Amino acid sequence: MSILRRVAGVLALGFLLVACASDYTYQSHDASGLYYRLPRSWTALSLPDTQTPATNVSYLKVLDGDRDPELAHLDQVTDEPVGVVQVLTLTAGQRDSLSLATLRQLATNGDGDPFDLQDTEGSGVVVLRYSDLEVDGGYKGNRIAFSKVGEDGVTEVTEQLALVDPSASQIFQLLIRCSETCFDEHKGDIDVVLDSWNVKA
Amino acid sequence: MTQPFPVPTSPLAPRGVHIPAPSRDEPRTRPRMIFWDRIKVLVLLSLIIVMSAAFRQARVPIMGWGEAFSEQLRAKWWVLGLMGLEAVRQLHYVISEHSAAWNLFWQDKVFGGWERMMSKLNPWSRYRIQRSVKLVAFIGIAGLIASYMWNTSFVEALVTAPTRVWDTLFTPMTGGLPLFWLILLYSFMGVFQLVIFFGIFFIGGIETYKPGEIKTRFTDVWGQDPVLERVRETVDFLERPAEIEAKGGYVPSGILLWGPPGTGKTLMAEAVAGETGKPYVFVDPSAFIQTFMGVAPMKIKYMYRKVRKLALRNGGVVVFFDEADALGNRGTAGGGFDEQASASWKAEHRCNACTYVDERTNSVLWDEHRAAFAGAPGHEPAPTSRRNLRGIIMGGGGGGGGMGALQALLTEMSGLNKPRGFFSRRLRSFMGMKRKPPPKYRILHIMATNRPDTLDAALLRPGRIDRKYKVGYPHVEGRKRTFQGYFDKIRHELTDEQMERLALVTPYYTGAMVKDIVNESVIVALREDREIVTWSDVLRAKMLKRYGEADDWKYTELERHQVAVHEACHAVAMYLLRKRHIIDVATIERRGDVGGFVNDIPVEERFGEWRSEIEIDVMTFLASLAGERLFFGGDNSAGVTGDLRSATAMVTRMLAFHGMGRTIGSRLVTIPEMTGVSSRPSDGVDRQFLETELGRDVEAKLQELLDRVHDLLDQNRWFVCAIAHALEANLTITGEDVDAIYRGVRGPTVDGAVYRTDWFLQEYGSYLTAANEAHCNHSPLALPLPRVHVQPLYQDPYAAFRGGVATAPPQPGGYPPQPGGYPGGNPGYPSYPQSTAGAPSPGGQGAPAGAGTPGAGYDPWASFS
Repeated sequence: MSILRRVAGVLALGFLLVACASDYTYQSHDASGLYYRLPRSWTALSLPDTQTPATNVSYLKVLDGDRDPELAHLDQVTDEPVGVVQVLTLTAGQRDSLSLATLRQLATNGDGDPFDLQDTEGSGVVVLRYSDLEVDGGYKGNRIAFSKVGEDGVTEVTEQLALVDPSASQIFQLLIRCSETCFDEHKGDIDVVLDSWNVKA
Repeated sequence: MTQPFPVPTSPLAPRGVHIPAPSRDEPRTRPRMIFWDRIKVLVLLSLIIVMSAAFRQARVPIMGWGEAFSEQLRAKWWVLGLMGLEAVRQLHYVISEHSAAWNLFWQDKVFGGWERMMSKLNPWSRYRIQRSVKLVAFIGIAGLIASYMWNTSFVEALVTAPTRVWDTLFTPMTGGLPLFWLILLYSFMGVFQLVIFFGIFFIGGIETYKPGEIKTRFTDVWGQDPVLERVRETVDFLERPAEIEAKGGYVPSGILLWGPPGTGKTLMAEAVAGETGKPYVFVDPSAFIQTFMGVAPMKIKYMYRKVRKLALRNGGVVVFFDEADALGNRGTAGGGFDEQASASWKAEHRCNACTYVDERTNSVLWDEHRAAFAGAPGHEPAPTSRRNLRGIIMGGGGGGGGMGALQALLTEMSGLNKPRGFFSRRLRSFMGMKRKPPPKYRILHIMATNRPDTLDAALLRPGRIDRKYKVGYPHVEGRKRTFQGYFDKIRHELTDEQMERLALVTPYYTGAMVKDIVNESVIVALREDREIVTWSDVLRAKMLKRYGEADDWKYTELERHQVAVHEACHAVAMYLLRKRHIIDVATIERRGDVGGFVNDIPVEERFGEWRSEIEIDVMTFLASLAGERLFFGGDNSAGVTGDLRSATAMVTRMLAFHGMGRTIGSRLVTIPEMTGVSSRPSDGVDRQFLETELGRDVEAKLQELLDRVHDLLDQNRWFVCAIAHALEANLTITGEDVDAIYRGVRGPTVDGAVYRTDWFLQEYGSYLTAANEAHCNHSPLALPLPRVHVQPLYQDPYAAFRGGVATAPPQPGGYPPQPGGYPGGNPGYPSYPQSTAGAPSPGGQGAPAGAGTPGAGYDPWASFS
């Protein structure tokens, strides 16, 4: 057997070996450099054309840990983790008023800064964890986790990562939430996503 | 010894007939591939996956290599599909390499069946189908790519493609282009500018005619029947290639038509265009020369792309290169068509003696011949190739032909014949289909030139130019047919006999010259407000075209007489000695440096010359010297210079080259020339020549011939005087007049009977005496020329060229016109002197028998001797 044949054989074998299935799927947004990892059981959904987001949203995925993923899960308190990954392009005016609080407000869908809501009686919001972030390439932001008791008495836990690029022209957001029980139950998977989420300069 | 391939025998083949063996069979199994060829496609597809994975891993650093591969394998499922197909293909190859049955099934039944089916279609349909398939394939691939890039369905991509492309091209850009597209754009712009710039030079030079667009037919080509027949045959092969190809031959790919200008080469090619059912491409080589460097070869290649496409589409094409020497030479050979040199060359080889010796000897002989002629004045350096012995002289040198245009032409005409096109060259091979033989383009090249000697030898080799035809001067029948053809187009009153006569007196006339004479005849008639062309118009037109207008020059009385005697001597020698010629015209009208001339025409167009004939030619030249000395007391003028030069050259050739002297060794063979060392005198004069034995022989021969012609003129003083008088009186007379004078009958311009009267003998005798005295004393001529009045038989064709002498009224006491005509009548024409050479003196030995013989007691010698 010639060397060429041996090399070809090794290549073919290696090819088959590395082709084995992985436990994760990987998502990325090449234009912004965003990437993250999802457990194989999770699904990254795109919005249909009829629900096209605002023009300043350059990337948007809805994450769903349910076996039967649906966009509707995003509006419910679920027993499987759901989330949103988006890249927002800021206008000049938005850049002027940008602050860490602005990033935190993204987690409440515009209801307010979780810290402020925590101090508001009857809001049911409790900040569980908070830290500022700074990653390679000059990206800065924060990581916040808070719980909120709903009207039906069910507690929902939300954790968000948000970053701003050095020129303050783009916001990168990852938000995952589900019921408190669910959050504890899927802590491992949720951390996989949160820990893998990053932006490459 | 066994034959590697059995030769089949046909039961129908006669004994002794060779049946060609079938072409060598291909191996029954597929040739084994080397391992790399077997896996290279798989490797390529694997590389696509690897590159994609690497790209992905670089974008998502948290991804492991294995995960990247795994993801890309799932994402690029089509690559896996292609790898599967490739594996099947290789499996098919492996089986074909081991199983003859499997291989033959695919080659003969599957692919072969398809080929057979396509070959049954006519070229036009086949071409159209192939183009349609290619178009559909292109649209399909483009649609797939578009649907992938635009993330739409295949159909939607095709439907929206025009709009998208339009919007992309004509909507203002909103952002910058990526670097890749910028590089591509700038590269394209650079190339595009070049294309625009050089494209200008691609315009012109190539005209394409579809069948039926040209109306010229073979029947419009007159006087070149043998060549026309061969050309017609070649075109027939192009029309029905199966006839020759089924017998193992091939359609001739090229014809060279060469010959003097105006002989109908272009007309013949035009007739081919009119007759053929194939497209006709007219190439003007001048568009390929003197261009920017590199343009001409590109233009040639572009032209052949077009020609090949036409050939495939129509099953054949005719390409005509007019003035092919402009494109088909590697250098310059100088000069124009040298019929004289060509004739001389042929004369040396008229018996084709080289046929009898072997090839090597033949080559050596040719080299020596070439060397000898290279040193001879008036000869272009001749080529080395033995091919030239067969007919055509080649040229040499470098740099011509339009900067590589010739080389491009050679390559395109018969370069490496390979399959063309992406499908035939790559895709078939990739798919493992049987190699497609190169297409039969069936391009017939016709080249016309009057400089075949400058054409490159490579251009003329069989396979490029298979047939070479000389389109020479039409023979007498051809000229007659040509005259008839052109005269049929106008109103005229020429008889068939006059047409024959016209053809006879126009040797070496080409079709163009014939056409010109007919046209000039029409103009002459129109000038006199006549609509019908007469014989007289034709003669005047011929005179004008052949000899041009005479100078407005008037001789003194004595000089006119001297010139007349000089030309009369030539005329007498010609008339009495050159019996295979007839005199066309004799004139003493000055044209430039020529004071006068006598021109004769061969009645028969002959190939060879004999010693006796050359001697007569020499005597005709020497007649002027002999006559001047005879009539002017031993004196002679410098006007004989040209005659003596010609006579000397002819005698030298006789003795030195033709074996017509005391020796037979050819002086063409010389030691210096054989060794390549030329020793030509710097001033062109070989002073030693006349001191050699050969030189002395030449001189002796010239003296001998001078004596002979002197005797002839001495015995025919009356004839000389009669012609001299006719010339003095009319300035120009025809050959028929000379004949009439000799016979004593009436001619077109002069009355020959006049010269047999006592009046002429007395009057001209006195005039001759006075002229001789004036010559000797260097004094004016005391007597006027004796006048006669002759009513021409028909309108004087040369009246326009003559002064007022002939139209002067008859002198008192002059010769009166004879009522009732003249004895003997108008001589039939052509006719030759009835006498034998030597002494045709009236009443003496050799006198013309029959018509015009003076009565008893007529003795002109009493006055003239």
